[in-house]
Amino acid sequence: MGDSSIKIEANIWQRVPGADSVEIFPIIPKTNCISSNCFIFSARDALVVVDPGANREQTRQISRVLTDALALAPRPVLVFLTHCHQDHSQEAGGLELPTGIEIKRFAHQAGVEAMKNQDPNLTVAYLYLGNPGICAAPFEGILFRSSPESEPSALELEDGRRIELHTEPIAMPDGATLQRQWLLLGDGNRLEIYHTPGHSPCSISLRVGSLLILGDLPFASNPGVCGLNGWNHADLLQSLHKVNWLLETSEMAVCCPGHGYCISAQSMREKFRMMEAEASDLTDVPLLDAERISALKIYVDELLEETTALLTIFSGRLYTISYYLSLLEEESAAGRILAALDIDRIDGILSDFRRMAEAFNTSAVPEWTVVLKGVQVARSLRLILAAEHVQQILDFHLVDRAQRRLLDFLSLVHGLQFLRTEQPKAANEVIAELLKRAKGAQSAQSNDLMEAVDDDQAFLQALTRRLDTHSRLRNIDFEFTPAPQETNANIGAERLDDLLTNLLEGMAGVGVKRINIATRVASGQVEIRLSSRERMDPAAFGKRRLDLYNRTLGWLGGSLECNQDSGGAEFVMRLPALQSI
Amino acid sequence: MEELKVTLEHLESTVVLRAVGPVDSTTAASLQEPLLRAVESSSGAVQLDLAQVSYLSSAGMRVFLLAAKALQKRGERLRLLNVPQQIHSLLNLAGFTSFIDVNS
Repeated sequence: MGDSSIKIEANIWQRVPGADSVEIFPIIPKTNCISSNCFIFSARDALVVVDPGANREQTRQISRVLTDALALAPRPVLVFLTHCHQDHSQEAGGLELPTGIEIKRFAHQAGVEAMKNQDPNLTVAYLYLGNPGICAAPFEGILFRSSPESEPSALELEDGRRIELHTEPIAMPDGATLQRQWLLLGDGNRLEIYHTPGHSPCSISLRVGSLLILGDLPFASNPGVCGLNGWNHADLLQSLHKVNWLLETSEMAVCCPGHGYCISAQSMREKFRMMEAEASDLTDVPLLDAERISALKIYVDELLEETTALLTIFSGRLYTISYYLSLLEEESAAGRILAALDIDRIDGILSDFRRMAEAFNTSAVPEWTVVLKGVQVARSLRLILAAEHVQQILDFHLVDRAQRRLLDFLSLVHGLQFLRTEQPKAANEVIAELLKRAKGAQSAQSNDLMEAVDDDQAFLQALTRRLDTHSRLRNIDFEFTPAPQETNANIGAERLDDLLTNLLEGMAGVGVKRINIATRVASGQVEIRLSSRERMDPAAFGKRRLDLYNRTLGWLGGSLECNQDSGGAEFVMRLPALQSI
Repeated sequence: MEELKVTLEHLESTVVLRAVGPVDSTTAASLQEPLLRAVESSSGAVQLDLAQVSYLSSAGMRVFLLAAKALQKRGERLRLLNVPQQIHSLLNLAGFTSFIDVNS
């Protein structure tokens, strides 16, 4: 196996592992979906540029690096695209080279045709604002032609030399074939090219020595990436399998993705194993077109507001506990409570995202960027909340609610059905359990406190939980009038509980003290009515949060209605009764 | 990018601070410094007007907590004035209304 200690650094020339006379100059911008990494190789017979990207400043840097290298040894420049997506290809025609330097461009046939036809779909130019120009530069090197003319195919250079492109498929032990082409770079070094579709039909991976450039294959199963035009589930699984085999059986040391830092081949294999597991479920991913991205962007806004509210309450409750522990002169315990959850990090993640989402409304940030950022935020928050000690501190129900909301978002971006996967339960039963939980917490906590009195550590934990049960719903007077009929509705029990809890807590948050809950079954629908005779401004819930609940119920064939008059206010939730589905 | 502006008014026995803008992890320090200074330098009541605060994150809550703790040592409570409904609701659900006076 490869040497996992080899590091590839950005913005310097360094030896390519496994190819002594070839050097690499990686350009690795801060990870974004506007412009990709670029890798420049310097070999005896050619300079090779992989993925120029889509940023003019980056193009100027590439041109400077090439010009300096060419001053030492004039050679042809060969530009390769790992695939034709706009963030990798846009600047392929923009390099400025000294007079007399010949440039030849290479890409997979499907990508060459897409760029030639100015196809906004396969190049995913539709994702970017302002109709950015699709690369119109000529591509002389057409890789993996569907009907090869002759072998090897050759490009003639002006000085009479030839670049010969050899086709040599690899037969894998399981009977599969890894399509391979290669050309010589001098001193016995090869540039090998593998067809690795899935992210796009024109996706290729490139190898020099024991360094493998993978383009966007490592992200191809990510929410917000899978389903892009040209994405293919079966091809992706095949490519992951083939590249994994390549990493396992060849002396590969380093893998370089199209965005972000290079990692060891071993780490990439582990990533691919996780991807294979994740990708195996992605059988029915809908097309991630402009319309769907716009819809997801709205959902991202709503999710942001909902998650921010849940986590701000969560963090605020930790602060409240720390306040009371301080009053009890338990400063160190107060500090431990706050240290248990990285509140500042959560706040920083959410604040950054909020500012970015706001910037979307006033600047040229593509909707897709906001959706991808939403995915990144959701994944980060899920990791923070999944830590065992977070679950142990307090209110696991609130943490679970936030987790489910984030998971739903990721599933939706993935294009998966998520709301029907849980077991439904009668609405009457869900409400009864919710009310029992709200009212029952205090007595249970009191017992904990009494039992822990001889153990300082346990006492503090019990005290923390007791302080936490200064519950949002504990002081509310509920009156529940259940329907006499069966109230099974088309929604999982946990999601129904989440929605009801959020609405009831919202009512408590605006100061409502008495809430009537009634269920009714009529016209094939289960109706849940949360009403109060007290004044209640639904605006205090946040419009986007209510939109989110309404949208969620809408996906299930239901709705959320908010009625308000001088006599009070009510929420009416309607869901198709399960029998009628 | 939205900024937070804080102004200060000394009344007879009360200091009133008025915040305008979002209070999040980026801006919370702009509130913390004048609020804690007002708490330390005044022996009277300290009030914070949030009428024009568009957003409050947990970073803002921490600032309230620090001020509340400092005031509690001399038997006072922090008073928040003109608190927007949505922020009032968050403070209520987080338990802050048990140690801070909040007026909508």
